[in-house]
Amino acid sequence: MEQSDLDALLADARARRPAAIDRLYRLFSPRVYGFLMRLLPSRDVADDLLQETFLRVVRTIETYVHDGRFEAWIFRIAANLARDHMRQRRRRGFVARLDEIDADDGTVRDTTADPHARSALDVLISGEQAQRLEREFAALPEMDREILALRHHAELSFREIAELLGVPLGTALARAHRALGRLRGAVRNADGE
Amino acid sequence: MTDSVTLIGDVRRATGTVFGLGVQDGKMSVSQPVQDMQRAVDAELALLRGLPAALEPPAALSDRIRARLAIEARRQQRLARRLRTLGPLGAAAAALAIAVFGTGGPPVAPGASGLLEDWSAAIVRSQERVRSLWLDEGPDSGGDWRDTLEDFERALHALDALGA
Repeated sequence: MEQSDLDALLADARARRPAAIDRLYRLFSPRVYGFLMRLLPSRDVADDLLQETFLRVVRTIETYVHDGRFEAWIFRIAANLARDHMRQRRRRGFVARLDEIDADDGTVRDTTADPHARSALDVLISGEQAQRLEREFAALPEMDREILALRHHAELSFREIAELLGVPLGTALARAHRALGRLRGAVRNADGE
Repeated sequence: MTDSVTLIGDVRRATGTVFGLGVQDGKMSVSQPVQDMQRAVDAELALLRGLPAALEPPAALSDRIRARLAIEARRQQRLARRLRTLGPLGAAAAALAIAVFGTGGPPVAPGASGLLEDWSAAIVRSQERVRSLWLDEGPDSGGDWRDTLEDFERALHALDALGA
């Protein structure tokens, strides 16, 4: 979409014209949905948070300062909602086993009941290697998944990701690098089998 | 540092500058900071190309959400019209309340007492903020902060009517 078209669309969306809001949804929902499905443990939750993301867009669009990064703004909303959901889920009684605690930094790998938990996307991905990659992705520590998803799906810069997650930039980069190394190893092992 | 470098961590200097610590051609190296690390990690991200970045939501889900968004858009239009009748100070105060709570009114629903408590707390926080804003501006603005608060409360009543 041309920048001038997006500018006009955002002006209409700020006036809460339903047609403009509808257009924003059709434009951005596939990538936001892909992002949420990647991060969240169930399709129902991803469905709910997709709706909540766009409701917040409608309610708060006048707070968006147009800097050519509207997409990043939407993804920040979606990422914050996903983080809130995961936090609430842990508070409601998710108990980590010892083998789910990251030895390096003490964070908990969010693997639900299955250490190789299937994300909501599993069922939709075909191809053995892609499925393997998907399973390994789902088994990464929560923060590593967030970092990779925010870069891969949301195309946020690492600086934006670090700010969003409240970690130093170097940490975000190092975690992304380590997680990608783990994924690469898993795919390589699958090829060798 | 090239893309083929193996990053093994990062080093933070007392100045706050972050350098990548890596191995290149079998030797330890400290990178020029972050740009190189970002390039290297972005090159590795090609691995994720096999995972779809976009996923079309199911049609039934999209229909439901689009209908809900249309309702919300019209509700926000009504709210904006209402705010315009409150005058600039009332509108500013109401906008502040919205910013604090993130909605156009209290989320009234059966069994939503917790949410209503949040809303009440948000009102109190907003009132305090209005007062402190007035105190900041006080010497030049004249009047009394309680007048400001009256405008603010009128705005809240208007929001209540829309939110209920």
